This record gives sequence, C-alpha cells and structure tokens, in this order.
Amino acid sequence: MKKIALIALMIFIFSLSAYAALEISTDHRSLFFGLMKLGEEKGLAQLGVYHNQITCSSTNGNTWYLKINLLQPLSFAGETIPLENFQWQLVWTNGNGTQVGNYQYKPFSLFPDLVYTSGPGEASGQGINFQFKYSLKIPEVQLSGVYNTAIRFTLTEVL
Amino acid sequence: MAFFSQPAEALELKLEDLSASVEVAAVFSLSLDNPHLAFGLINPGENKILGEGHFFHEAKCRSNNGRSWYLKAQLISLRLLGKEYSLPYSCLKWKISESTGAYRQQTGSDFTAFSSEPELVYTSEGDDPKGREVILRFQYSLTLPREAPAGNYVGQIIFTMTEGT
Repeated sequence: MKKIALIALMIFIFSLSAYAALEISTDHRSLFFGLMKLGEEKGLAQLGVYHNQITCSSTNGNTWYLKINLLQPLSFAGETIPLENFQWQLVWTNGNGTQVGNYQYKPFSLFPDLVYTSGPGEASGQGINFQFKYSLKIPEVQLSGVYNTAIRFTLTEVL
Repeated sequence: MAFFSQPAEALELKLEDLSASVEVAAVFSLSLDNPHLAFGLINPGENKILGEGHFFHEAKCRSNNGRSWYLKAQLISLRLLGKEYSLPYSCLKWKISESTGAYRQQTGSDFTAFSSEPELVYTSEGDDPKGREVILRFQYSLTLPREAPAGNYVGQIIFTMTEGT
C-alpha cells in the first residue's frame, strides 16, 4: 500500500513538474515581405507599430531568456541575402526584465541572440508579451527569385 | 525523488519557428542617355570622334535573372543630312571607353568598324547577371572618304540587349 502511495505521489509530482515549465507561443504571423525591387528597403509592422507578438511564461522560478535567430540566411537557388540586410527590433514588452538592444534594429544572426532576460517575479506563470517588427533591404546586386528562411525564437534558462 | 531535482529543469528549452520570405523582383533593362549621333560639318578625308577624351553617350544595362546577357549595336543609317547620300557602314567605328561591368577586356581597345550585321559589344560576366548595373560608355569615330561630299552626317544605331547570342 505504501508502495502504491509512493508511486501515486511520484506521478502527481511528475505531473506538477510537467506543468511547471517554460512555455512560448506566437501569434503565427509569418514574415511575408512580398515583391521587392533591387535596393528596396521594407519594414514589416503591419499592425501599426509591430508585426508579431511572442508570449513567454515560466513556472520554474528560475531566470529565463528569450533569444532570436535565423535558421539560415534568406536563400534561393544557392544565393543568399546577407544577414546584415535582415533586421529585427523589439518594440514593446510588458515585462520588467532586461531587454537587449535598446529598442533598436539589430541584424539577424545564425546563432541565438539574446532579446530579453526575465525580471524578478516573472517565473511564476504569468505571460510576458513581446512585440517585434522587422526590416529587410534587398541588395543592389541580387538574383531574382523567392527567398525563404525561418526565424527561431528560443525560450531557455541557459544564457 | 532525486530525479525531479532542478538540474533537469535547468536544461529546459522551448522553440517556436516562423517562416520568412521575400520575392526579389526580376529586372531586365536597357537605357541610353543620348540616341542621336551628329558629327557636324565634316570634310572629305577628315576624321571626327564623338566623345573624344571621355565618352559620347552611355548605355545602362541591368539583369538579375542569372542568365548571361549580351549587348549588341547595329548601325541602321549613316547619311548626309538633308540629302539622299549614305556612307558605307564601315566608315563609322565604335569603342567602349569606360565600363562598370565585370568584363573589361574591350574597354580602351581600338575602334571597331560597324557592318551591316549587329555587333556584339558586351557580354555579361561575374555579377553582371545578378543585377549589377553595367554602364558602358561609347566613343565613335567617323572618317569621311575622299570621294564623299562634305556636310553634316548623322547616324542611327539600335542597341539590343538579349539573352541569346
């Protein structure tokens, strides 16, 4: 009987542990820049001041970090658009932690760049929202075609 | 209970991916800043150069579809203004005096005589087919044959940018 109770307790704790986790979600607004000419620069902020929103939460009680990176440069048929031409900017957050970049555009990197470090009391389950906008400049010399990539948001407790 | 401890949670990580795309527009263009070749008064046996020392006019070519392109020039008339008299096409010669393109072999070379056929004046190379604007600056040389009448001679050239030789 003791053994069964212990197993039940372990399952309960395991369930709690499963809920006590990091969560990240997006509003699923992909970045579609459409047709752009050579040398053209375009900002994506279709909702007025921002393009999409990311929500992070943690119940682990630990400091957490939001990072951003590209999985590959915008690519087409072996051609790429230079990373420095594609930039992101955090325009708003309701968090009280530390945001990196001082609300300025930063070029994307292939390695996760730190966007935000959670503040006190931000690891007890409440959702912290982040609003982003983006900018892309097509170089003067660039092959025509449809270039694709993916942006990755990472929520982690490892800096 | 040790296997529910903090170290396992410290490695926790969550990811969300969003796609991004852009279509870079295709461009295939040719422009010429001054289409009129006017040599002014020229006498039999005399030679005149348009654009001497620098250039007479410039053609701007641009393509970013990745395929090689070619610029050709065809002289379609070379005549005495106000008369029915025409000169042989070989009296007029062309030269690229400056180029911003990757292919520079022809820049600064000697004048080449026109013929009745389109002349290949430039072949794209390097980054030219990826959208680099190639500016080609031309000079022209006209030598009036001794048997030709003096007067004001004008020429008409058609430039063609193509992806085929």
